[in-house]
Amino acid sequence: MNIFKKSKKEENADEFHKEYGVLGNIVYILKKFAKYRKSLIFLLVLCGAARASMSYIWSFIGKLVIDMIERQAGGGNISPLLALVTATTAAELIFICLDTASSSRLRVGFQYIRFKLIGEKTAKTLSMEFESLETPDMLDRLKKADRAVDGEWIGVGGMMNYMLQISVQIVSLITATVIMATFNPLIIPVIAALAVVQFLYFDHIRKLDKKEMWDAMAPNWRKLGYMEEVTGDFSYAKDIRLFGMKKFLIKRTREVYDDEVAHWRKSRQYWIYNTIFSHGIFLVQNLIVIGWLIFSVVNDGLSIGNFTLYFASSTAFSGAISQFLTGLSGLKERSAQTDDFRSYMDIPLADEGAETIPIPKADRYEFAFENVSFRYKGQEQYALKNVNIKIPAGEKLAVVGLNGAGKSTFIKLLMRLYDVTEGRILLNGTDIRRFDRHEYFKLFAPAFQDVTVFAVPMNENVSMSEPGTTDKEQAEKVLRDAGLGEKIDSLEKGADTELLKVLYDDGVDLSGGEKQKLALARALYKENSEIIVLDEPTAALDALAEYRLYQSFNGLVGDKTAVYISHRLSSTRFCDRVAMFVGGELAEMGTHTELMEKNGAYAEMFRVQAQYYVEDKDVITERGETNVG
Amino acid sequence: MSDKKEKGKVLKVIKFFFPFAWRTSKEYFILSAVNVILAAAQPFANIIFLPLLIDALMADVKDITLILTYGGAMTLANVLLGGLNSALTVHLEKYSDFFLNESFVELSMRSMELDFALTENKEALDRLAKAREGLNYSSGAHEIAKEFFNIISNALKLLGTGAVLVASAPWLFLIIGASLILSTVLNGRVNAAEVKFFKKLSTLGRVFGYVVYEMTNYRHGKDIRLYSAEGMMQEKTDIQLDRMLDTEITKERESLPYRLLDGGVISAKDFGTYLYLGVLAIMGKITVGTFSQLVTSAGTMSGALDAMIRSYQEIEKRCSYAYETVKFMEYPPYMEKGDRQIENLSGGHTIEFRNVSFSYPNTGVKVLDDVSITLHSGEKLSVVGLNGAGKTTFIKLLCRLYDTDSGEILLDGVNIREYDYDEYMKLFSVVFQDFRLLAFTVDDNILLGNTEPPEVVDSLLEKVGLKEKVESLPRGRDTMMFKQFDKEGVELSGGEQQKLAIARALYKNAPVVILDEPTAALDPVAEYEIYKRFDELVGGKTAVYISHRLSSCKFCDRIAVFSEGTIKEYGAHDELLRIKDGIYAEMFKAQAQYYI
Repeated sequence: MNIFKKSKKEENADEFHKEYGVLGNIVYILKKFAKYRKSLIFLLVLCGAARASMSYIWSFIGKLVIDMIERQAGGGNISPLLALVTATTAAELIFICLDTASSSRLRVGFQYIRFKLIGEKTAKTLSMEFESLETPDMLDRLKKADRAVDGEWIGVGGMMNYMLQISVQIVSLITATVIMATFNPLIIPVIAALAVVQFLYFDHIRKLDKKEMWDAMAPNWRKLGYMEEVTGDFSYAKDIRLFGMKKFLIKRTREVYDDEVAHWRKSRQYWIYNTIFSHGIFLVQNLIVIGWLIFSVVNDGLSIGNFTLYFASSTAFSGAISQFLTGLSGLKERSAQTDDFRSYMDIPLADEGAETIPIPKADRYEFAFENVSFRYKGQEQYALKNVNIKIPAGEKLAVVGLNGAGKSTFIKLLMRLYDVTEGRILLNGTDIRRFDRHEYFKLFAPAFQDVTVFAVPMNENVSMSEPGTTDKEQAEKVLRDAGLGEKIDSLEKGADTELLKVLYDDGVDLSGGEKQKLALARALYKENSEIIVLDEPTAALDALAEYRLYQSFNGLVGDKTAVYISHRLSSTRFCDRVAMFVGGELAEMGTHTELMEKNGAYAEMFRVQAQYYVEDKDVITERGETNVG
Repeated sequence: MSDKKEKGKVLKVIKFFFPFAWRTSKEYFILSAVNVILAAAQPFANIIFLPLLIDALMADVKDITLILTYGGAMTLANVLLGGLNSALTVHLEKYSDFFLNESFVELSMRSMELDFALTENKEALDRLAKAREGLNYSSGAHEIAKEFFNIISNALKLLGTGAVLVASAPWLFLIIGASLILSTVLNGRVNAAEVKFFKKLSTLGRVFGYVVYEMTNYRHGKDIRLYSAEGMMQEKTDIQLDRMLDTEITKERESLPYRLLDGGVISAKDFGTYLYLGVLAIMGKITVGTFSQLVTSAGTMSGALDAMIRSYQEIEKRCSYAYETVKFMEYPPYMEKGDRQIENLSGGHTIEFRNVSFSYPNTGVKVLDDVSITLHSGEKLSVVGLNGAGKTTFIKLLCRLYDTDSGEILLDGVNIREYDYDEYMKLFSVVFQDFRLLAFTVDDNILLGNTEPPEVVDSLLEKVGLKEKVESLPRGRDTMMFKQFDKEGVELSGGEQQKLAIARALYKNAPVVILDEPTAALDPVAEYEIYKRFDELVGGKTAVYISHRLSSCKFCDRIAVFSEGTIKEYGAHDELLRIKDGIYAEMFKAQAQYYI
């Protein structure tokens, strides 16, 4: 049966996508059972056998009762009947209880396994180097892997449920076949042949359906999800209302839906053909079996009891076959989703097996970029070209430049979120790639532009450590240092207040400015860090908050090295040196005064921003210094 | 299960789902009726012909023609009825997505019509989430209709088998009836546990989704790695997974005894049925043919009864999911909406805030307190202030995203509540701080479905300084933004997106232009370009400009300085700069001193 074979490698651009085959995936799941909960394997077999037996027991008993009636028609002795029916009922009750209890266990067990796999996937995602995680391809893979463990009836969860269903059908088919064989072994090849024909046509339809419906629809699911997001996620609400987008969006939604419905109808049409075909097969099979049975009764004296038993078995066989086929197609589909999950789990990590050396303890940490160039994966253009720069310990370095000049790339390389394409970065003379990545991360305390806030208490948002290990006093201190003192005082639970409303209804949402302050506090909390990296830390702050940060900056940072990225060039005034990036290159480097004297790109950019303020120079200076702050 | 509340839900859901289905497709209902008859008739192929066949086979003199006729008729009837029934069932499924989609469209429509204030209201957000989830779980009109038709066809089976049984084995009614009642009660308990679990799960599911997917989202990846927060994330995930598992275990534990008892009821019924019918046959009261006919009928009858209960419970379950959708559709409006038309819409207008105060719902904190200001036609107003001073709220009230608590806003002397809401929206071209673009083409993002000659879009792109960039894109103005709709879509930088949002606002060409921090993501040079072109961009229109960069105030006629919910200073740049100890002067100096 080719359905079990690994299907031919489709045109698939994804280097990491593998196909493990239905059998391979079944083995994978059984291994997970063995690892996490061995009893599931036993329960699977037990449940399959009990459920299949339940459906057969009465057709077998029907025969015995009829035999009994035939033997003693009008005789009137009912005690053998009573014994028979009692015994059968007892057996049935046992099967039902076994089935009910084991399926209940299995349901919980399947969920347990699924949750374990989700845990494994989370661990994998967390250990993946950021550089790969951020690429669209990897995000797609992750999304698919997410989906494969997302529910009871999809992906791995679905496979487990279909494995149960199929094990029931297999037991049923075997039972029916054995019963039929006792009638006449010659009938087995006949019904087997019919079953194979039915299977072949079914598989043909399934492939057509997959190709023209499910594969063709894949982009549509994404589109539908997007339309749902736009119309339902209220972050679009203001724009929708003020630009009167409703009709336009509904029209677009309908277009996507219409396309989907057209495909869906086509798919149903295929299955109508399959229904007609399979009923044709049933007709042939039933005519053969009934004709044969009638012939045996008339000519060979087959008992009526046996006649009813074989007739019932033949019907049961047809039913089991069609359920088996549905189950198989379900299994196959889920197995493909399971491939997505396993492919993701099998992606090799860049650092795996790499030998690392410990970062030598030193009083001063000096960084140096040597001819560093960098290109984002899949892009031809260099984001950074031939950058040479030394950052001595304790220096405050301002990094400036236009949008897209390479400022953010520069700090990502510095922190080793990405590895250089060419050249090298040295820490106290050693290439940073020789260190363990996670050890190296510990040197840095960054505050990024896109501040991430988690649905945990404010102080845990600062410490970013497991609950219970947060130094609450220190967390509150740095929150106050970062300018959130008033906010904390206004909250009933102070720094213990939960953030975001996702998990706690009384969670607090922070404004853009407050989030930036939180990010700063996070950087300050990390006391053992050697270098603070701030990426546009005042974009959302008002003039006075920005000013206060500038004023206290050196006090907060202390002797640590600091790298400060900003569009607001005023920030360069309290930094020791300015690095001006233009088009991926380090164009100018020096103190603010030096660069202004040089009258190059930096000076020009500074003047553009300063001009509005310079005009009022007189007014401002005459007012004196004292009122500010 | 079937109390009055549940029935009310079912009725409401039907009213929401079916009028549409009935309007668009009579065929669906006619075919469903045919299918009901086919489904009901199918078991009777065996019930009618099998005893005849058996009795003919057992006759002392075997009439081969008769035997073959019965056998053939039974087989043909079985396959024909079964085949047609299955094919028709699949055919009817063609409608399922269609019906469901229509409901989704209505839901989307409603969520876009919802008063804006409600979109920032957590309860409304939850309701919408539940409405979507509910609609999905209910699977839409087809799945509910299918269960209704199932009930009818099973009722027909019941009548037919009843007629067979009543003549030969009346006591069977008692056995089947008793087991039916017990089963209904027990299944009801199982169902109740499931519904209870569903409710608990939707809360847990929200948390689960957040912890498992959102916390480890790549966007947080930088922070997680650099702050070694992997441990924190892993622990949060594990705790959540344990909680989910506990819920599952409790649910199973609660329903297992009822499931087992139900198994007992089934066995007891089978015991009674076989014993009773066997005794009748052994006593010679019925033939073997009739015996097998009665066994089949009894099986069909209890199957039909069982199916009816299940269908009914299924309807209730699906309707109680879908009821969340209906509830959302009936969500009461927040604002009163007038019907007054705006005279000379595209002309000049005066807008006045008169003693306006406002607090966000359920907060009790006055964000605006007694604000009065007049915005004259053609005036350029700069709104400045510290974080949290009420600037953005001022804009939201101006655009009538919220209504004032006290005081009024007048457009040309008339309270804005009297105007038709959609009409009033036409007054403003806004670029919000957190604007959103769509994952469609550049053209679509600007024109929003309107058609214009290419020059129109080109000149807009030119104005905002995006023309070169767009021309460099693979498909120019037809390039898709983002990746959701088109995998080949492009991601513009924050600054470029902002420019595109400005172009969209310009195309709308409304008499009042509002720009909320439009240069936050721009570098100094791009910012300068926007400043330089501000007059050209806005022309003679009224404009409101919010910015932390006070340099922007210089090209506005008036500056309103917000502090603690009121306008503390108001005037031109030069005037404000000269106020001793003024807020504006202080802010300006704070920013300026590094530049001079």
